[in-house]
This record gives sequence, structure tokens and C-alpha cells, in this order.
Amino acid sequence: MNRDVRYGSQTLGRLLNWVTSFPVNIWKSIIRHGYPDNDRDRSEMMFQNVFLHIMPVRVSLNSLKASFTMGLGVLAGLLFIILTITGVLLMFYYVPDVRRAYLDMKDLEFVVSYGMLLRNMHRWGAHLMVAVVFLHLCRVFLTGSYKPPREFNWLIGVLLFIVTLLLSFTGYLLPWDQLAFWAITVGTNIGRSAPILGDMISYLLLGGNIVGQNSLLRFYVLHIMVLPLAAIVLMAIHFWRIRKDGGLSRPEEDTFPLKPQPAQVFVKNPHKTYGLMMFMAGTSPGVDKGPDNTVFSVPHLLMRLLLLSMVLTLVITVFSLFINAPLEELANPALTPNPSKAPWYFLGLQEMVSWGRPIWGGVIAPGLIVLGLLLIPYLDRSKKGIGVWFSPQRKLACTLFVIFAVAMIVAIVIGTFMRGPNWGFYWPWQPWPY
Amino acid sequence: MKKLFALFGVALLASFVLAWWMDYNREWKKYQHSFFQMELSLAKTEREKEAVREQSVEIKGYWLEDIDRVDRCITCHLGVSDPRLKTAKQPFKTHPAIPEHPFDEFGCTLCHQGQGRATTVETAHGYVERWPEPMLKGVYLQSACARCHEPQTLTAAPVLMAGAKAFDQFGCRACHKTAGRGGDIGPDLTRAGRLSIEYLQESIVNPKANDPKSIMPKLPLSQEQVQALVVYMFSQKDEKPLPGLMPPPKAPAPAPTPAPVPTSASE
Repeated sequence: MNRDVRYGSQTLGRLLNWVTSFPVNIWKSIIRHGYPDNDRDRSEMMFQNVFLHIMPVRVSLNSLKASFTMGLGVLAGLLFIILTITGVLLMFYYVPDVRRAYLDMKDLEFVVSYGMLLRNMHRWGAHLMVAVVFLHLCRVFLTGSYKPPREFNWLIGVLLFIVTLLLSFTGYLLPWDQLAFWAITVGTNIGRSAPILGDMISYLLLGGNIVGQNSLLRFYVLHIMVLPLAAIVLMAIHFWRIRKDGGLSRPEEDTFPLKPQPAQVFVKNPHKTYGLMMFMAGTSPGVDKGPDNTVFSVPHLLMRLLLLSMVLTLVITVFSLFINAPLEELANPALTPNPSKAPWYFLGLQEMVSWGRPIWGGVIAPGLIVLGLLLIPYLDRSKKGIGVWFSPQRKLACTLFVIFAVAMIVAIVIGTFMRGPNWGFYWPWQPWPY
Repeated sequence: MKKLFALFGVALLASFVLAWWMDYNREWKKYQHSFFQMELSLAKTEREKEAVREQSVEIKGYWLEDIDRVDRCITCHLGVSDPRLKTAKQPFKTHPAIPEHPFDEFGCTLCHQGQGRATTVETAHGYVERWPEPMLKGVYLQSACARCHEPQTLTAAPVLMAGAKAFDQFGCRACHKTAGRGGDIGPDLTRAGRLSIEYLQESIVNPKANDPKSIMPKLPLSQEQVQALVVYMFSQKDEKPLPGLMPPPKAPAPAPTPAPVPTSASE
């Protein structure tokens, strides 16, 4: 009897143990580190989480400064996530068929729960992403962050900018209204002015000589499949490369800004080997150096990321609740609106096309812009002025770039707000003749 | 930092609640609730009352597969086929029964125009920008008949018929073309229905109003004739008739169909 009781209590104890440890052992099988209130767990968190792994364990204080990055790269990435989520939900309600696409837009507006909110978030998020990616590109140039060793990542960034523009452009056609139809018609006509290749590329893209069912299907497949995949692969390289190139750019004197104090210097231990350094470029681990200017990414970087994503979601949601995405009449190939305008980010090109022979604005100018952007880090190889806004050592480069960026923006503003029928010039407050 | 988190957390939550409320609080629900109230007061027996209570608040509509239309007008105009509501106020008034045009085959917007898919008053009636077919009011409704019927002999649409006859009587085709027939001196009127009623009226009464170089004479027209001509002009839309809805030639008119059964779409 005594044995039985003992046996029984043992089983009960085991059962109790099993029950009490139940949620914890599942949790521990997923998350292997403790609560990040100590430096060890803060490091483990970065090592053991595939998503957090894109962050370094420690991050430079300079990289955390809002005035340095303005959070633009992170914002672009967050916008991609928002656009993916809203885009997938929209795909449940949208069929890329010229007889249905426009009606699906109407149903999204009038019947689908949160349909209009989804569409607005997707539309405004996409516009915002084009702007944010462009501003991010400007930031990287003006802080000299494309300089060695980050030349290749600049290249990837320029490709990502082009993919962003193409994503927005292909999405523009999908509502199949007059705005979509004629913006894509104008947009592809701009490219058509290229000799020989222009017509072929436009034919390949549209699946015909004019925008029609084939174009809608091609743009849809590019928009929801090909281009997002390209963007994801390029983003993976982009983020990976940031880490491999030593984090965000920062001024050299910022890496070890504090004068080494004898007590703080990390001194080589004669009984230890430091093998890892052999495989690292430069003199990365701070051997024989003073404390560097870094803090742990948890919580400093992680919390900033989360806060930024909250602010962005809030802004886009509230904006989308009150301001509706445009939807014009059903696409009508027989009725050309006057003026017909390309999507706003191509209006600078359309403006240039209107000045002279279309080949200048349509092919040579954009070709030179893209080529110039791609070649920048290979032309400007000086290592001066890295990690500082408008470095005095890069006066010429910064001035030229600002002139270029402002010229693009001015051309876009003129094309958007000051061009009326027959591409005539009208002030925004001037009425059009009809 | 913690304060910022709290602030934006609360703001984010508030924005989600607002989004839910704006999505939940749809205009048409108000109309359905007051319609059910009215039906409840009209119901005589307990069984009728029970039937009213069993109805659910949902978007209703005619799904017209043959002519690729969805007309959700009956989401608010719930009484169109209820004969008890002949004196009720809009949007619940009974629609006069037209046996040749059963609602569940023809829908609403084929004759009335407006935006059938829309579910708010303004957008559904089509008095909004970027919707080319606002709802037709009064005698102008007759212009819709011309899509399928020959206006010259359509006694059921007297104003349209008068307009078509006046068009012939005043010799408008000497200068104007409609559907490929007529002169070349004035503008082709095959698609005149795409212009606004006001513009058409002005162009008929005072031809120089919209085109100072116009040589069209001011015709001695009565008020009624002007209106009839506008209705006729407004019917010129160059749209194809819908063969699926046309009765077979010389066959007897289809027997009156029973009241339509609304197909309902889930919310």
C-alpha cells in the first residue's frame, strides 16, 4: 500500500510536471534564448532568429540617428510588406480580364468588406514607395554611402529602384479605366521612340500593337509574380550586402571615436587564438583599440524599427480611410483624353519628349540617367566624405546631384500640374479651355 | 520611447476601430432597417411578421448573366414588386409592373441608367464624376427605349416618338447624319446621346450658343417639340441592342411573369 501511494504520487508529479511545463517546452523549442535583458541574450536573439538575423548584434550610434538615414530604406522595405499583404488580398477579388477588371474595381468599392480601404492602401502605398525609394537613393548619394566597399550594393539599389518603378507601372494598368489605359499607352509610346528595339520591346510588353487583353494579362503576371520575385531576390542581396560591407556607412573617425584608455583597450591574450579575424576583411574586432561607438540592436534598433512600422501603418491607414484612389470611366480605346498623361514618375520623361524629338526624352535621357546612376561608384572612386551629409570634400558631386534631382522633380511637377490640353502650359489655377 | 509606443499603439488601434466602423456603417443598411420596420407594421398575421423578421440585412441585386450586368438597386428599393406599397415614399415605392420587361431579366439600369453596381445613393443614381450614365429622370427616361425599339412607332414612349417624328418633319437629316443616314453639313448626331441634356437643349433652341459659326436656322419649335427632340437626340448612343432580350420576331408577347425573385449577394 505504501508503495502504491508512492507510485501514485510519482505519476501525479510527472503528470503535473508535464502539464506545467507544457506551453514552456513548446516555446523553448522555438525560441532558444532567454528574455533579452542581458547582453548574452541580446546577441543570441540576433544569432538564432532568421528574421532578426538581418540586423547586426551591435549597431553604430551614427546609423541610429534619424537625421542620418531618415529611416528611408526601412520605410521602403516596410512599404513592400504592406503592398504585398494588401496586394495578395486584392488578388482574391480581381480577375485580369478586360470584361471584368473594371467591374471588379467597382465591386471592391461597393460590396467587398474593406475593399476600398485595401485598394486605397495599395494605391497610396505604391505611390509613396516610389517616392521613398527615390529619396533613399538621394540620401545614399548625398552621404557618399556608395563609395568603396559599397559600390556593388549601390548597383543593386539602382536595380531595385527600376524594379519599383516597373512594379508601379505594371500595376497602373490593372484597374482598366481610362486613367490606366491611356497612362500605359503613353508610357509605352515613350519607350517606342527607340530605334529598332523600341517597337519590339513595346510589342513584347503589350502582346500587340495597342493595349488590350494580352497587355492586361502580361502586366498582371509581371506585377504579381515576376517583379515581386525579382524585388525579393534583390532585396535579399541588398540587405545581406549591408552587413557584409560593415553596416551602414559612417565617418571613419566615428568607428572608434573615443581615445583608447589603457583600462578599456582590449589586449591580446597570449594564451588565446583569434582565428576568426583571419577571415575578416580589415581590422574589424577591436583588438588593441578603445570602446567603439556602438550599442546593442536590441532594444535600440529593433524598437526603432517597430515604432517606424507603427507610424507608417497608421499614416497609410488613416490617409486611405479618407482619400479614395482614383477610378475613371471604363477604358475606351476610341476616346483619347486630352491631355493623356503617363504615371507621374514618368511625367518628367513625357515633359522632355514634348520638347523635341521623342528619342531624346524617351530613350537617350532615361538611358543616360540609368547608366549614369549605375556607373557612379565606379567613376567616383575617392574614399573621401563617406557617411556625412553634403561632405565639404564632395561639393561638386553633391551640387551636380542636387541639380539633377531638382530638375527631375521640377519636370514632374510641371508635367503633373501645369500641362493641359495638347500639352499646353497652364498654371494650376488657370482654367482649361474646355 | 515607451511613451511613443503607447501613443502610436493607441492611435493605431483607434484607426482600426474607425476602419471597422466606416466599413460597417454603410448607407444602405439604414434603408433596409426602415423598410423592415415598415413591413412589420404592414404585416397582418403573426406568420407574416415572422417572415419579415427572418429577412437578413444584406446587399441584394439582380445578377443578369446574359447581359453582363449586376443591378443592386433593390438593396434599397426593396418594395419594387410589393403591390401594397403603391403610395409609399421612395425608395420603397412599388414599380409599375411591366410584363414584357420582368425585372429579373432586364434589371433596372438597362432602362433607368445609373450605376447598378453601386451601393450608395449618390453613386448608384450616377450623379457623380466619372460615371457617364446618370439616372434618367422624367420624360428623358423614354430615350432609353430606343436602344431596342424603333422610336417612330413606339406609342408606349410618346415623347420619344414625337421627337423622332419632329426630326423627320423638320428635315434635320438634310444636314445631320444619324446611324449613317443624312447629310454632311452639320455634325453627325449618331452619338449625340453622349452629350448632356442641357447642351442638347441649348444647341436646338439657339444653335449659335455652342458654335458661333453655326449656320443652323432657329427653328419655330414649341416647348414640347424642343423637349421631344432632346429626348430623341439623347437616345442616339450608337449602342447595340441586346439580342438575348429581344422577343423572337412576330411571336406573341411573353406571358406576364410572376414577381421577380431577388438574387442576393452576401455582404
